[in-house]
Amino acid sequence: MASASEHLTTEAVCRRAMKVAVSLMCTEAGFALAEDAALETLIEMVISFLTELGRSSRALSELSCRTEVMPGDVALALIEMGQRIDELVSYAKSTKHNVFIPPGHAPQQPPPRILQVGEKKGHPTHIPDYLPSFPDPHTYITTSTHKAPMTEYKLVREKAASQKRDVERALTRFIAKTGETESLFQDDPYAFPLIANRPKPLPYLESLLPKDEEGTAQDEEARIPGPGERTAATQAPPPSPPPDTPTKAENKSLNDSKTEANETESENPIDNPYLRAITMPKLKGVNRKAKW
Amino acid sequence: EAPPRTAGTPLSDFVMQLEDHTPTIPDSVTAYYLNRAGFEATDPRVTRLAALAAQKFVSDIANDALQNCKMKASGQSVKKQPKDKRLTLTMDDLAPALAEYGINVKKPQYFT
Repeated sequence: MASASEHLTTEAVCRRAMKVAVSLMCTEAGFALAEDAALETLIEMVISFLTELGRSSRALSELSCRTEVMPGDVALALIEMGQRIDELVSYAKSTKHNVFIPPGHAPQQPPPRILQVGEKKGHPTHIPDYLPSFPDPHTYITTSTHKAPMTEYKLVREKAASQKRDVERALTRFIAKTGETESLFQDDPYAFPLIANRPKPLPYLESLLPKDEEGTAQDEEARIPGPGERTAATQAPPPSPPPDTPTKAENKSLNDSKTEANETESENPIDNPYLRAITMPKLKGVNRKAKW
Repeated sequence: EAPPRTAGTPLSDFVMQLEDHTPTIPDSVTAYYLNRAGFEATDPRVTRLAALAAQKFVSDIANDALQNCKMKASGQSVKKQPKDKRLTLTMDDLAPALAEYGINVKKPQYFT
């Protein structure tokens, strides 16, 4: 009930109000001035009088098996304290009492919080009002900061395609910037750099020998029709694809794409760490897993 | 004959009229001190009764002190002032007034 600041305790406020009341009573009696010590003495006496009256009348009411205090209890308590109650009525009627409105008895607003953001939420219905209110709502209410993920097939497909395109473009530009390039235009070598093609002495050899996982996956796909097609591919020269079996054509197209991929990925050993030769995994006895 | 009047009867009658007489001590202040003693007043008139009793108590003492002061002043007022208009409530006047009620106060004369 009492706040923690210096002079704003309820007791201090009541004491001040009591001081004013006692001063009024002294003025009624005829005094114009009063000593501090005398005034304080009277204040102490009034407070102890009221305390004793309250305690005694409460005890008397409980003695009669009541919880509410009746005027008779107060009267009996007064008699017990030695006060005259017959004079009380005449006193009340005779004197015109000065009444003062006690200051600060209006309900005080809670001091406005300095750092208050937003309005505080009221209590839910199952929480009574006399309990402290909730803190600022931003402390416990979470709102997700991400947008709802797109689930439309069209948008997702577009996004996947654009991402793939960006990745390919970025990778090729990176390799072009870090490796050897060929330029389309004479005057501007940096406009459209093309990755330089290194012709290999045995071009078909790379396409026939299985390399990393990308090649093995495609090899597995090509191996489905039968093991015989491999020997046929090794015998046939790569520039003129033999149109004997459709599997060979399929194998050739796969090998072409493989060659392109291999040319962009495997480079001659240079100082550039990104362009070192790829270490080949062992062929036999390796459990080849599909990509991703 | 009328039924025997107990001690609390006139007071109980008076409580009904208590709303017209507002004591000097504010109701909230009285209620605060009574609550500290365990007295929860459901009827505000009972609180006013207690405040009125306290007020009478104080005014009785103040009147006694005033008489003390006037007695002391009357011995000299003929010589010094015709009428001592501004009376001051001092501990010297208060102490004998309180002694009649059995309250003994002693004010230290000086700080040691």
